[in-house]
Amino acid sequence: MGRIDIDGLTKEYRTPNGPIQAVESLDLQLEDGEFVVFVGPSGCGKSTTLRCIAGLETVTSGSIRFDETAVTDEKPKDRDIAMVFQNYALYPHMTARENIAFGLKMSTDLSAAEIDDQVETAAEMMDIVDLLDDKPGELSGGQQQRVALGRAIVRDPELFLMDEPLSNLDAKLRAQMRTELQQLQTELGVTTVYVTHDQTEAMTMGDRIVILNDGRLQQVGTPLECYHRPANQFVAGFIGSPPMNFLEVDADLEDGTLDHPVFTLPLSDSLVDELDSTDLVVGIRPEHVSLTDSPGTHPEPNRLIETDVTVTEPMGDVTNVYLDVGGETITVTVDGHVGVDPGGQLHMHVPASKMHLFDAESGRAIKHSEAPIDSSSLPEADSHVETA
Amino acid sequence: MARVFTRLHERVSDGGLGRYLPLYSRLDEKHQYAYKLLFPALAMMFVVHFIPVVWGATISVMGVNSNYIADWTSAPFVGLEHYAFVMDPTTTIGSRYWYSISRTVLWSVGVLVGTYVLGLTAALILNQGFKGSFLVRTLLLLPWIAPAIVTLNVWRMMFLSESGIINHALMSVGLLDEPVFWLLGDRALWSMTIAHVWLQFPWVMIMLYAGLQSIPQQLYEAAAIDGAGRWGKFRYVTLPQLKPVSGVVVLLMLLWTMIDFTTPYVMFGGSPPSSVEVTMVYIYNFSFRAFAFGRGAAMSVGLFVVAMVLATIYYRRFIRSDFEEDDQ
Repeated sequence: MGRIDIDGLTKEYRTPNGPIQAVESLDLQLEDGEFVVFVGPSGCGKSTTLRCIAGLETVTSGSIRFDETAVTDEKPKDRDIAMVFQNYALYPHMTARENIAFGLKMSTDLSAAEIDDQVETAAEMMDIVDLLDDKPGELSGGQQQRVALGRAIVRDPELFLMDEPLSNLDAKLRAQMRTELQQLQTELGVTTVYVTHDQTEAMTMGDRIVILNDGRLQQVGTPLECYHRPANQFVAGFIGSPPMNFLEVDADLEDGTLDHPVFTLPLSDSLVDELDSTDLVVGIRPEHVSLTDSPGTHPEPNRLIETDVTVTEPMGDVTNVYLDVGGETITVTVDGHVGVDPGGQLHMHVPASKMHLFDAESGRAIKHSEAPIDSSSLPEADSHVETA
Repeated sequence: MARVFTRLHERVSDGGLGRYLPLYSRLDEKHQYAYKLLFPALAMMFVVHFIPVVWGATISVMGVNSNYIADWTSAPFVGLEHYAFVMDPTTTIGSRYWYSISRTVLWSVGVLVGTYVLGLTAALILNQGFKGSFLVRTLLLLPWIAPAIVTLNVWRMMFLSESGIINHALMSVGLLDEPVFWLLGDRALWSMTIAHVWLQFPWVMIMLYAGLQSIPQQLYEAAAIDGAGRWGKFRYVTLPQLKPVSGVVVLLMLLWTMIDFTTPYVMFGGSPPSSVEVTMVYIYNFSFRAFAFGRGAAMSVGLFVVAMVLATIYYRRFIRSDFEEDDQ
């Protein structure tokens, strides 16, 4: 068990200014044991969806099924779920032990000794045995987080729901807990829905990510699918840091070119046939742009764009270079050891294989990057690391 | 008035205070400023509370009676004689004093239970946030805002055996066969408790309501997911979360009722049935009708000590631990 079916889920809030649709007819299937991340900007409906799955919100229309059981109108306690909240929501007047034991005490008939055993086991998994007799007020944020996770795993639920559980931790602890959470989830094999506004968490943690905006589903896919094959311009801009660069262009179907006030890029014949609009947006990820100061010797001079370097941000491993293209800013990441001087002029190369094209009006993706997204390409990379 | 404050401020600022108060001059500027702001309130407290307490304690060891009304300072010093007299349970006066204390405690506990249960119920209902709860909240506060003398007189009239609406109502629905004397005998304590609960529960309600509003909603959500039903949430989230505010409410309600004079005096006047002759009324009669000021003062100090002992036990047992936990 642990398969979730969401069918046409709609959640409407009534406000004095009329109803607000927080989630609009969302269809989604989560497989057993999967780690699914809901991601999107504030107010996109990700938390509302999670709370509908939890039973903390009533559903306006649509249905939710756990395996074959409809739970749409069930109370939270009848859904066999555990949840981790952003502020942990530990009971302040109870010790860590009582916090973890509370769910078992409320929802099972276990004896005190059995409950204590299970609490100890969960505490060992979370490495908080020494903290069991402390109250939440005496614990640090990271420790409270561990207690909150302990409270969730002790229940041995069919489904974990996590609502931005790491966002109150400092950056270092967050990175550490991210890995730990993934390990924990793999170990337990419990279907997990994880809500975050942080695309890095989504990319690094999810088996699949669900991207939402304005209460509507934008894309469901593996992190690499969403990264390299974004369904639309919103997904392309949301996933990835620094974000994808966008340049508005007009397609000239007769000449087979993409025209921008300061440059022209060639357009392949096959693409020309696919276009049904001429208002397009070129998208290119910062790491897919290469820079050159000798355009004359470049193998693809017709895909070069002349730019001014405005700012450089050396990060150590990479350097973010900000370029000016006709008043618009383009971000490019280059190797950390490459020297780029602000104020200079460079040509940037936009490779056809890595370029994205979107319909300017609908945002729909017309062309994707051809970067590989299946994991079969990974073993090569691994062996490469070993030999290096 | 403004000039007085300016001059006062100058005097306080030029180190004048520091000369007389070495502790004060040792404080840093921020704390000195805080004390300057507190000064008017402290001065008021000094005049209204501190002086009468010391005065009362002084009179309790002096033979002040009707002979010394013109100049109490000329009364002889009698040591603890008054205390020995009023607290001797073998005398009529002493046994009535102790009886009045027991009635006071009984009444206070009754009021405490009544106000807490009614106040909590009302607060829980208000906290549901239904439409019009604002209006209901205001209406429920009325008994507390309305002048006590009006409310209490209305209650007294309602409790009257012949013309009172309570007997009338109970008889018309068949719960009573004949009128009951609500204001006589032991029943008087019930009547006085009911009237006082009515007067005081809005305050308890508003305190607990504020406490309820400060409970994070997420705790209820966590409890719902942990499998707690309505009762479980109330028992394991609401009540423990209300503990700090409840501690203060219970302590103040207990003390305020013990020293309340208005309710018994307005309802029963100077000659109440013995079941409602609480210590405050007894002291009043003793001091201001028999003019035995010295003995009355000794009784007051006695009541003060009883109240302090109860408050201290309660504070140690229920309140201090909460704040200590918070400090950690």
